[in-house]
Amino acid sequence: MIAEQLPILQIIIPLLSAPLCVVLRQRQLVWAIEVAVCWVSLACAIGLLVQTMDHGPIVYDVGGWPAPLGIVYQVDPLAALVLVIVTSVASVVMPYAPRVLEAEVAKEKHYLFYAALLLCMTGLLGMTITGDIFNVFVFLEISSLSSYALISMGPQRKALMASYRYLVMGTIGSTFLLIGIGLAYMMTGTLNMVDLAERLQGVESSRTIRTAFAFLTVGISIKMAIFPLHVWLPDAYAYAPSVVTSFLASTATKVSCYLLLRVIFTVFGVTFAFDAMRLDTVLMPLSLAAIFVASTVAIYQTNVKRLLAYSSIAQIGYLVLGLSFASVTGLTACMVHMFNHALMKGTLFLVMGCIALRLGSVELSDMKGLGRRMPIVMGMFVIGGMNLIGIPLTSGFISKWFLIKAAMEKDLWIVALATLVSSLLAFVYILRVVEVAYFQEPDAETLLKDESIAKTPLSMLVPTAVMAVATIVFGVYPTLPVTVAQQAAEMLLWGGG
Amino acid sequence: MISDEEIAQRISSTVPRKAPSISNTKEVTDPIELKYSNPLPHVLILTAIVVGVATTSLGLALVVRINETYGTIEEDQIQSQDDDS
Amino acid sequence: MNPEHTLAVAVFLPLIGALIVSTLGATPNLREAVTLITSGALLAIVIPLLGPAMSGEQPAINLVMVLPGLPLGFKLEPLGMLFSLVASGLWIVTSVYSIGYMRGHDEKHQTRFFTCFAIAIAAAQGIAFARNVFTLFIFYEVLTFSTFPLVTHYGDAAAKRAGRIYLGILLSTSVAFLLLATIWTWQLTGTLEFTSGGILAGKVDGPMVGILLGLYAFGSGKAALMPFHRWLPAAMVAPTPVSALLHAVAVVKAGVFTITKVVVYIFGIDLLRNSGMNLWLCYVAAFTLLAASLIAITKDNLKERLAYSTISQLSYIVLGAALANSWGVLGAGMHIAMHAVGKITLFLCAGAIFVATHKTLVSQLDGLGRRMPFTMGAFGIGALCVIGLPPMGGSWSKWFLALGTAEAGQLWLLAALMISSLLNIAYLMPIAARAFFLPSADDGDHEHASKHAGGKIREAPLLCVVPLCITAIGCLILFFAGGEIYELLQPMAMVTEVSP
Repeated sequence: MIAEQLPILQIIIPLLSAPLCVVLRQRQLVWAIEVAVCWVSLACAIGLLVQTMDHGPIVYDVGGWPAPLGIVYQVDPLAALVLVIVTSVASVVMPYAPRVLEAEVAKEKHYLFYAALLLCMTGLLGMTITGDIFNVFVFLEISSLSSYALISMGPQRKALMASYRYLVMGTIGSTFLLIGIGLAYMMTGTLNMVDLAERLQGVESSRTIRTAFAFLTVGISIKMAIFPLHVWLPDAYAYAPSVVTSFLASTATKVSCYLLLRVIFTVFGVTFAFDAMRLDTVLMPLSLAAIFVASTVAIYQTNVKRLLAYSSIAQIGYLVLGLSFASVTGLTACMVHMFNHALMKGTLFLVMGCIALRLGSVELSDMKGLGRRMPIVMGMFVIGGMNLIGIPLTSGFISKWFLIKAAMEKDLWIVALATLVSSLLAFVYILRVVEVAYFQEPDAETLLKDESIAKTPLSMLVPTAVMAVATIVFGVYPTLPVTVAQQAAEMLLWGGG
Repeated sequence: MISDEEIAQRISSTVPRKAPSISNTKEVTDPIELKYSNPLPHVLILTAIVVGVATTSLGLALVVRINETYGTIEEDQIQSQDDDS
Repeated sequence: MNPEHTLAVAVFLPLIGALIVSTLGATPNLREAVTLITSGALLAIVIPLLGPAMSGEQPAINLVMVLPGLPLGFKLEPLGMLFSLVASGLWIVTSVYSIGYMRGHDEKHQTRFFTCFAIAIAAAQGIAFARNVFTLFIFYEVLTFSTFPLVTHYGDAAAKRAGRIYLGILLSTSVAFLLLATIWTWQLTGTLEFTSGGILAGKVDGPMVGILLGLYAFGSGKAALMPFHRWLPAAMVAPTPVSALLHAVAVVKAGVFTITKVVVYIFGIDLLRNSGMNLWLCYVAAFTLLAASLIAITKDNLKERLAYSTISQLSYIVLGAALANSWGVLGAGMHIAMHAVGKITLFLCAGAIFVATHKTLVSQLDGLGRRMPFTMGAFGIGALCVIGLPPMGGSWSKWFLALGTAEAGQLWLLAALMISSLLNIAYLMPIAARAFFLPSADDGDHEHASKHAGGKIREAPLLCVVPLCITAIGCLILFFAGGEIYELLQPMAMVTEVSP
């Protein structure tokens, strides 16, 4: 019985817990509720994943109103994968949160912080699970507004401007999305995605629909930080509280990528997007530019969180590259990389949170000799870094493998070689951090500060270790994400949903 | 499957048949008696308005905070303050 | 324990040893004991594999199916057997030596040293027994990363610089070329298994063969083919036991092993030879072996001279493999073993000289033979082995390599081999000769001269001298074991005629 209601429970539980947190106000209680809610949501997501892998897409009519008039929640393997990603990242980040939050955000605001985090998660989950394109906009705004608020709570005052700039750019993105939805509705009269896909086949050649496609793609690209619309991301990730960066870096852009896949492949269809609108000629060069430019800029950063943010932009480039191949292998690569990147960036930003707690700063120059003082934490940074480079036995390698295979299948040798060369750029910026941490001696003042701060608490060490180990586990046994991704890719390309 | 007439019904949201409506591009050859106005476009616009209001208020709240922290809301002054620190 | 499980245990045993060693930092004697026990155990379980290997059996085991059709697994075959024996046998020797060296020098970070050593040996075993290119690539990268802390052991600016060159070149070549070649091969054939006769027959022809070969050859950066050789002399900043490991046992042999295995089991000797696309690699290898020998002559620093000698000798192996005929491949396989034992002797001697006298330059070594007869004697033996003169094992491998060039009709290559052997004599023999036959340069003004007056023997610590004597004797033994090695490698090289 519960199994049938899983789709709505996935949304309702975090959604209703948010005002509950605001009402309750007591810090520890709110945190306990938050952790419980995230774990329950993870259970729901896993349940949905199992159901959809066994029985095919799940369709749930909200309020009993059937499609195409009512809002419908639709779960297929791709959506289920993304749900699992978001909820598992949340489940790992929430237990980690309290200690580092104490250091960065005033205690009176914690309950509001947790409430906003729950709303953000609700928004992301909602975007994934809904089958109604306007509902996507609503949930997108829920998650965006809460993330603007969350980012602005960062310890430095630069967080305010970062959040403000993100707000402006994000609103532009949402507006583009809204206009695209409006134009599509105008020509077809429906908002249900599946229905939209059917109705679009008749009107595809109209200028309105082409414009709608363009607006939708650009709007989602802004949210996904595809080069050159990525400008908001580095500052937003660098100056947000550690918990927020860890959560958002692993989830927000993945959900936007999911949305892009949905819009391009399910709603508009691969023939329209790639044959008529020639999307690959736009996305492929942009993704390569993202990979190379962002990786290069990352090398010169002095703030390690900013370095990792630029690294994220490059990794998003990989996602778009896989998408632009529009083949089963390419889409599999994209989706496997969504999963793997959530894990590896999660690990890295959780590590940065541990370092921020201990050192009070995330500047590279303050991290001298950290390899000796925080060996476990830096070891996990190295593991995350090896994922970014794509060393075998890590999940990052699996993503790269599929990407290069997809490139070779299309005889795009230059792209394959470019992807491999970009790993070397990742190597350079990871080596920079490793060298400072392991080869340089800490200076006197950092040592002095160090004495006064206790060791990294277990509540922060364990979640980081869980993520780090997960990257290795899914590098050696990638069967689960690969199977799900392949099934999802086939469904996206050949219908059946 | 929904027929073209139903589309026309849904898209046009004003009651008088020949009055300007959103769907002037669609030729309504045999207009049906429209008994209600389609709520969906209203919903879309209202939602967009509400979201816009929320976003604006959040943005303004941020501006207030920025003003408290930096003492100014001129971006070049904020930039120079950030560069100095 | 049946052979399949032995294969897996051979890889995991050093890893478990590494884990235990990493916790024993406070009790150095116990830590050293664990290292020695692990290395002894490894040799003990690898030796019984010789039986199945010689009889042509190929026990195999899959550990985990990482991607569909791509298992991480092990399979026994002759060349891998040889590499594994060399690695495990020389690990014991190097461990004993390392204990003497590190303690003699009172080195820091010894626990990290022994831990990474063990992981590197595990990776070498993984490479030796890899059943497909995928597994080999994985352990190849593990080897690169586990040897990085060893190369940068001293942690100073020079070590950091060397570490960058080391990691930079090895990682770039393996990611940009070797991985590309691997995925391309998988794309072409749907499998990456090492199979007798190769898997590429009919799937690729013309210049594509040459390009793929090039990607594999330059992708194996550890084989130090020019122009990707710079990491080898750069890595000389490491302590000598590391250089012995890098240049004899694990890293460089892994590189040439990869190339040879790919030539024999992925391309297939016949495909490569018939396509004619292997000749360019022969010439690159020949160029490297000559150029490196010439550079070696100019080097006064002993370890650098030995480094360039290694680059040259590695290209002998690559040349043998690139000739893609039975004699060449046989010679290449044999030289993996012969050069390993010979070169490790030379490096162990260099380290012993450093521990005993703090001398690093060849010009300082005159007359040292009187003070350190065992060390310089072993050096002489090792030099003979590397040069390829009987009665040392190296003569067999050089012989087969020469036969290979003759069979291929490549007389210029034969000439290159001959010239290089002369150059080998030129840069190695004088060291031993001058040590014994010339008076010592500093007998008068060294502060310990009074203690050394009258030709007293002052060798390096026993733990250093005994291993290098053992390896020197090993060079001699390998000469007589040439027949066995020939028998072991024969099925790989598919030699049909009996050697003259």
